Amino acid sequence: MEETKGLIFDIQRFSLHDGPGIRTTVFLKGCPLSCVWCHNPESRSSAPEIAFYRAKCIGCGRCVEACPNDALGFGEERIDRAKCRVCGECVQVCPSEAVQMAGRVTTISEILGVAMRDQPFYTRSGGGVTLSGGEPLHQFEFSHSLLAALKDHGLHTAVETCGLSPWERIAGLLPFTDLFLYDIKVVSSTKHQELCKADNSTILDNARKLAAKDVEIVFRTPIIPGLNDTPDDLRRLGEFILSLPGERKLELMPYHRIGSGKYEALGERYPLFDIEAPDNLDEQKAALTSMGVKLVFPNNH
Amino acid sequence: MTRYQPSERIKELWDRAQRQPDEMFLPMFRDYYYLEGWMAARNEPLPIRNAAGLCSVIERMPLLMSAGEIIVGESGDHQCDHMINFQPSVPPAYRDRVMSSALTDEQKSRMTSWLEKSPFASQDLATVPMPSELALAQQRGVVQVWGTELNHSIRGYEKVLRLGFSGLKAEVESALSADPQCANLLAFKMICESAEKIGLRHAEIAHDQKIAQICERVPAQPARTFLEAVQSLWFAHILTVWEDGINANGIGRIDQFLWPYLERDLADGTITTSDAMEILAALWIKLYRPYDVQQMMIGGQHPDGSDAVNPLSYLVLDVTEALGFIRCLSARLHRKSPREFVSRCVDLVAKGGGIPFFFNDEALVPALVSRGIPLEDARGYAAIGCIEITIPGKANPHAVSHWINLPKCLELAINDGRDLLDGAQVGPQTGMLADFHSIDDVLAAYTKQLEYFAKLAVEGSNACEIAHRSQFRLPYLSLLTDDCVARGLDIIEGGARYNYHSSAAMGIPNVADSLAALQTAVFEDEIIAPDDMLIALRTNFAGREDLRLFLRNRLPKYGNDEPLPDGFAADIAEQYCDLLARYRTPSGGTFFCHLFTFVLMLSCGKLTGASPEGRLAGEPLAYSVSPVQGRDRTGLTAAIKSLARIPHHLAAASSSAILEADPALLDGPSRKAFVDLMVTAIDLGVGQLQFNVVSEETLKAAQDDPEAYQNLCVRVSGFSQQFCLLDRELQNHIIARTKHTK
Repeated sequence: MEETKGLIFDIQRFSLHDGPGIRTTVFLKGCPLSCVWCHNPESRSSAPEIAFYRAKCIGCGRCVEACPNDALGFGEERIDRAKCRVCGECVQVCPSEAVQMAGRVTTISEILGVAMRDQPFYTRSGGGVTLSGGEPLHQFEFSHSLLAALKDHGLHTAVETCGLSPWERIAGLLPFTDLFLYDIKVVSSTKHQELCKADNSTILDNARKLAAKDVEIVFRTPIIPGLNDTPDDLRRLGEFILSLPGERKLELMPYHRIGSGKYEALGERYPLFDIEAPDNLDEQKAALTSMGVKLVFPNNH
Repeated sequence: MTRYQPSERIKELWDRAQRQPDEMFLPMFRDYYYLEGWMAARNEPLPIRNAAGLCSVIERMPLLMSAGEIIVGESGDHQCDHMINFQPSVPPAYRDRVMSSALTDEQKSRMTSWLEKSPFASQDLATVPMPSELALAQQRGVVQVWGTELNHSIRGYEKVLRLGFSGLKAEVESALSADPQCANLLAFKMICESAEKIGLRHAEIAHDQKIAQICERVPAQPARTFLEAVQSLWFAHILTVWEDGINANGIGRIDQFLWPYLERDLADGTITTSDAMEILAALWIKLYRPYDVQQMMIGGQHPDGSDAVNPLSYLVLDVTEALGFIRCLSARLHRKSPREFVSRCVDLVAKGGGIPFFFNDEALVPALVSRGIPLEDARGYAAIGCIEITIPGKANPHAVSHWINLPKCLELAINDGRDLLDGAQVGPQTGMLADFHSIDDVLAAYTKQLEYFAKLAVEGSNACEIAHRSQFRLPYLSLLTDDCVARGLDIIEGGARYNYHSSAAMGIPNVADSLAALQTAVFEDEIIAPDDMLIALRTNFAGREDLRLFLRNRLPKYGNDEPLPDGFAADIAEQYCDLLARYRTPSGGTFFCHLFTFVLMLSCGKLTGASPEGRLAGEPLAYSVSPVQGRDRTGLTAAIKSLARIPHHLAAASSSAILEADPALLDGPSRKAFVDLMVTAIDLGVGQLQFNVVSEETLKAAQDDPEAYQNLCVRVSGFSQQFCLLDRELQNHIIARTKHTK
C-alpha cells in the first residue's frame, strides 16, 4: 500500500513554544485563512514555491543555467513567477542556499524518523510533536495518519489549528491528539472577514464543540497592535473564552515582523510594514485577567 | 532571585580587587627572594635548592594586608605566571621588570648578578633534545609540544586543612626515619617548617584580634572552623602561586573539602549561612583575576557513586551569581544529580558569563577508569584550569602535554605528505587524492599521517619529562600529591600515584565534515573529480566560490544529528584515543586523550590549507569538539546528539564543547526546558559542555560576517528564522530586543 504523502515546509526540532516541553514541530503547507499579519507566508499556498533570498546570492548564475523554463534571470525580480513551474532544478544547483524550495512532499515514516531522534529530550521534558502550519486540518488524511503513527510510538501530540474546518475533521483527530492549540484571531465576524479573509462562525462553533470534549486546549490569540486589540476586541475575546464549558486557558502571542523577509523572498509584498511590534502585552493581559480569563504562557501550559 | 546580598565590606573589597591597585602587588619580590634562597643553597642537591628558594619567599616576602579584610594574605605579583624559575633563558623584558620594580638598588644589582650566573641562564639548563622532524611538524602547525608539568595542578589542599603543615611534617618525618638522607624528603620537611610560619607572620601584623587568632592557628595546625579552613586554603594556595605561578593551578572540589567544616559550624550554631557566604565571597575576591583559569569544581559523586551535592554547592553558586564576575567555576553532573542543582546551575548560565562549565560524570568517570584510574579515585576528578581534569592530590597529569592538528594530517594525507600551502614535504608520502578509490583509502592515508605525527608528539612529550628531572623539582606540589612522601620521590621524578600525559586532538569536527564531503561529493555523487578537488584546495578555491559554498552548504555537517559526519567524528576520535593509549611515558603512564583546542584553533587554523568541507586556507579550526562555527543549524537537541556521538567515555583528559544559546532560551518559562535539555545531554553521554548565551556583540558580529553565524536563529512564539536571513532593519530590531532582555 502506498504511504500517505503530505506537503510540509519545515520540520523544526527543539521547538519550545508550541506545547509543553521540548518538541519537534511539523509545519504543514496550505491554510484556509489569509491573515494580513501572517509570519509564515510560505505556509499559505497548497503548492511548493521557490523562495529567493537576495542577500545570500553570490551571482554565480548556476540557477539561470539550470532553469528549463527560462524563468530565472539577473533582473530586479530574479524569478519570473509566471514562467516558473517550480521544478526545483535551480534549488538543486544553488551553492549558497539563495534559492530554496518552500514546501516538499514527505511521508509519515520520514517525519517519524526525524521526530524520534529527539525522543530522549521529550521523555525528560514532557515534550513531543506538534503539527502546525499552515493548517494541519487542511491536509486531514495526512495529519490523521501522522498523529495516529506518533501516538503508536508513544509520543505526546499537539495540533495547532485555526479551527476553520468541518467539525468532523477535528473530531477525527481527537483520539490521537493530546493538546489542541486553537487560534481565535478575533471574535468580531466583520473584523475577522477583513483581517483574515474568511468568516469565523465555523471557527467559533468548532471551538465550542471542542471545549465540550475531554481534551486539553490552549486558545491562542496573536495580538496585532491596533487591529485586534481594541478594548471591545479584548472584551469580546474574554467573553467568548469565559462562555466555553470548563476553565479554558488563553495564551496571548505578541505580533512580530520577523516574517517580512520571507515575503520578499516569495516575490510578495509585506502587507503590515508600518506596525511596530509591541514591547509587552501587559495592558492586554490586564484587561483579560480582570475579566477572570486564565492566561498561560509558552511552555507553561 | 539573588540569594546572597554582599555586605558593604565585601563591596569595598570587591571594588578594590577589580581596580587591582598597585598597593596590592610587589612585583619581582617573590623572584628576588626565591633566587636569594636558591643561591644560598647552590651547592645543595636540586630538591633542596628548589625548597630553599620557596622557603626563602615564605619567610621573607613582605606581607600585604589591608583594612577590612576577612581573609588575609597576598601573593604579591600579578605577573607570576611569568616567574623566572623554569625559564630556559632570561628574556630581556624580564630584566626591564627587575629594573622598574620597587626593589632597592642593591637588591637589583644582586639579582642581576644572580641572573647572569646561575641557575636560570640557559647554559645551566639541560636542553630538551627534539628530533628534526618534530621541529618541522611544529613549524608547520601539525604538532605542538608543550610537555610541561608546570602551572597545571590541583594539590591536596584537603590535607593542609585536615592535618596542618605540622601534621604534614609529621608524615614526612615518619618517612625520613626510614631514609634520613633522602633529599626529597628533607626538601618536603623544609617546606612544612616554613609553611608553619606563614600564618604566624600574618598574625604579627594583624590589627584585627580575630584574624590574628586564626593566623596563629592555620595553616600550621588543623583547621577547626569554616573560617579557619578557608584561611588555611588561601595560605596554601599562595604557596602554590609562589612555587608555580597562578595560571591553571586549580582549587579542586571546594564544596567537598570545605563542607565538613561548615556543616560542623552550622550545627554548633557558631556561624550562619550568610556568614559563610561572606567568607566565600572574600575568598572569591582573593582569587579574582581579570583572566582567571583557577578552576573550582562543585557537585559530582562521592567515591561510592552517590550524589555529592551538599548545601555548600548551592552557596558557591549563590555567591558567584551575586558577585557577578569572572570566576572559573565548573559543575559535575550525573544521572542522579538533583534537579534543583542543575536548575541553579542553569540560572547562573542565564547570567551570560558562560559559567558554570558542565562536566559529565557519566562519560568522564568511565574514561578515567578505561585508562587505569581506580573507580573510587576516578569519581574524585576535578577540573584543573580551562577544562583539563585530574585526580586532585594524586596525579601528575602533564596537562596539555602536546597537541595534534588532525585537519592538517588529512591535508597531508590527500597531498602525498606535502603542505597544501607551499608544497613542502612535511609528512610521509601517502599518495594523492586522485590515487584513492574510496573514502577507506583516504582514511588509510590519514591514519599513516596521524601515526607518524603522534609518534613525534609522544617523543617530544617524553623528552620534556626526562629533561625536567635534571632541571627542577616541585617540592611543595609533591608534598601535597600522593604518594610522593611515601615513596620519597618528587612529582617531577614520577612520585605521583598516577602519572600520565594528556594528548590534545584538534579539529575533529573539521575532519569529520571533510571526510563527509569527500565521501559524497567525490566518491559517491562524483560532483567533482579528485584532481579538481585537490586543485581547488591548493588554489584556495580561487574562482571556485560556487564549489566552496556547495561543499559548505549542501553537504551533511557534524552538529546536525546526521549519521555520516557524526559517524566520522566518532570514528576518528576513537581512533585517536586508542592510538595514544598505546604509547608509554617515562614514568610508566600512558597518554590520556584530550578533545580540546584551547585557543589554538586560531593559530593552527592559520597554518592549515583549504579543506574539502569548504573551509578556506587559514580559517580557524572548530573549537574542540563543538560543531564548526555556524554549521549546527538543526537546533540544540541535534547539536547535543552529535556531540554525544563522540566517545567522551574514552577521553580521559576530558573533552570540551561550547554551544551558542539565545538568551531568550534562558529567560522565563523556557528555562525549564533548558534544564531538561541539560539533563538529557547528561543522559546521552556528552563530555564537557558550556553555553555561550548569545550577546548583542555576537549578533553584531553576525551582521558583519553572516556566513560564520548561519546557525544563529532568532526565536519568537511558534516560529524562528535564521538571523542572517532577516533584513538589516529587522536585525537591528532584534539586536535592540536582545539588549533589552539582558
